Amino acid sequence: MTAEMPWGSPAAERQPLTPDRVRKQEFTRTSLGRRGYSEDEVRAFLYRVAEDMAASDKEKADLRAYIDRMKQWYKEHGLNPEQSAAPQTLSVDAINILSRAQQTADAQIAEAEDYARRIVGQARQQYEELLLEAQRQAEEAANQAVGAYRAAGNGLQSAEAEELERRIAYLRTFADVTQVQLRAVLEGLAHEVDKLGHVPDQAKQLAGGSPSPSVYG
Amino acid sequence: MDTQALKDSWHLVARSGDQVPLYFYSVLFLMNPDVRDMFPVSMARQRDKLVTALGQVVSNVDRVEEVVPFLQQLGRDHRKFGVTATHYPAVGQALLSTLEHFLGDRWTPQLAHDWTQAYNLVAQVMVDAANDASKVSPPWWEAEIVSHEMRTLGIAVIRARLNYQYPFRPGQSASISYAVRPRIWRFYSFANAPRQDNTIDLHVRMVDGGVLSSALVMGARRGEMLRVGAAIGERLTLSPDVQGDLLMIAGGTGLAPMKALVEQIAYEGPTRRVDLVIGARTSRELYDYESLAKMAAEHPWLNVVPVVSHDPFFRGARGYAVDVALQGWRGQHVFVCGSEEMVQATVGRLLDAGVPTEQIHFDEFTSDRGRES
Repeated sequence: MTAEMPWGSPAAERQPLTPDRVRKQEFTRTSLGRRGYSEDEVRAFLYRVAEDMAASDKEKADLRAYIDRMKQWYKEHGLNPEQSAAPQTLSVDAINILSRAQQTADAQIAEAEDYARRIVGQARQQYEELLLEAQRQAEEAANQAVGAYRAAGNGLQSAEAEELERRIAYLRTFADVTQVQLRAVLEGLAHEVDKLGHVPDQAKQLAGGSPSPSVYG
Repeated sequence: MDTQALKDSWHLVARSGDQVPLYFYSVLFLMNPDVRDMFPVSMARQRDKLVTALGQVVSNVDRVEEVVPFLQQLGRDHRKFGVTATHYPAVGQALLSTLEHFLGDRWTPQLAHDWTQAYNLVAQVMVDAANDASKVSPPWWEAEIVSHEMRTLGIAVIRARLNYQYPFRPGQSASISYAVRPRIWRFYSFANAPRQDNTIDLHVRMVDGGVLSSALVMGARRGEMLRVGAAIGERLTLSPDVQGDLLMIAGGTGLAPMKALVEQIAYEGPTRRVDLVIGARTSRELYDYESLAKMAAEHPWLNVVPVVSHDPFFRGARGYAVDVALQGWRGQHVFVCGSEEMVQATVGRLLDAGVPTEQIHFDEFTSDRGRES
């Protein structure tokens, strides 16, 4: 899309921004390695958001003044506007429409939550499989390293040195395997983050938040 | 008041299932649009809750001693939703309209009179309980997050400082709400005994697709506020009649109330032998083992055993926590906490192994506890 220059058109002539339009606003990406958005466009957009916020603030102030005048009128006529009128009879149709709208909302939210549940569940399963595979390969490498150490030995091996060999091989392989997997995950993540336009802290936590597996016992 | 007529008419109405609360809330919101904002967008859970509560009240309407404590608890608990005495007439009106709609010709002036009387009594008990509670405690406590630690993927330990004195006992839990997910409350157990500095610890696991737990684990930051309801639940607390040694079985973040009990025994005594078996799927999910191992090193009466079920590389005990725990059962009281499935399976195994029912302590699951849907 091309950037609209808000100062080029008076505010009254354009559609006011709605929350939905703000959420769905797209920006042109700068050509520099697809990192970030065109600054002019973002500036112009923020300017428009500020305009609309100011306009709605003004409107709110006008409405408050109007309400005060109304209250004053009620008071002068000895009436209390806070007392609701006698309960009106509701139309059965209105009740049905609201019930149906509520059911639709409930169904859509349930569907969204179910989708989220499945996605997260799959992701977790995948993560566990990756980790298990990394552990398996590392274990194998450690056993091989010990075998090699023993084979190369001339009867002077110590148990400590052997254990050290084992652990070095384990960690090296574990790091290699997880690094490959993590890089793939991170690339996917970076791609998603690019779409968002700002780096959420969660992404950092995801990448750095899980400690290396320690073995208790 | 003809209590039998009330019961009969309620059973007739209840046959229409979800239609009943659906109609009720539509009437309530159309008559009082301002009330709509007190509820979450999705009303599915809410409808179930309403019918369950109403059913419970109606079926016990002639046993006052049963129904009054339940209503008092309900009235106190509703303070956290911002419900005041002025809301009750609107709810009563919507309830009567709903009954009238579903009963049709059976809705007689006499029945209307009985229901009105019954509802007014219910409202009175709830309002009085809320008023009494408001003299001694706020509708909810504000708690500032002072630390948020991601212990492993999907489990966070959150420490928060409450704004007023907060009375609770180890083993209790409270409903928690977080501004990012307004009007959504879920129960969490405290993972500590009461402290001088008025802080509480929560162990939060991210439930797949869980609305509040995801926000608490992934989104919550130091300095942000939580809302905390009053502490509830007696079943996992150390009552005077629980004497002698204890065997504790914790699954996942069900460790929280167990840790609170261990702290209580360490601070207040009387010391007794405590065997704490911590179950997890993998060694990575033993998110608080180090702190417990440290406690076990300090207190000779405490023995902590981690058990892992789905991790072929774990060097310690493998299998299910309950099986390892049963090897050490010598007639002690047993405390169990974990996911609903884990608790059910564990209690079943304990009963099969001959542990007497009255020696098994576990929380009743409410629709809000440990589960998000």
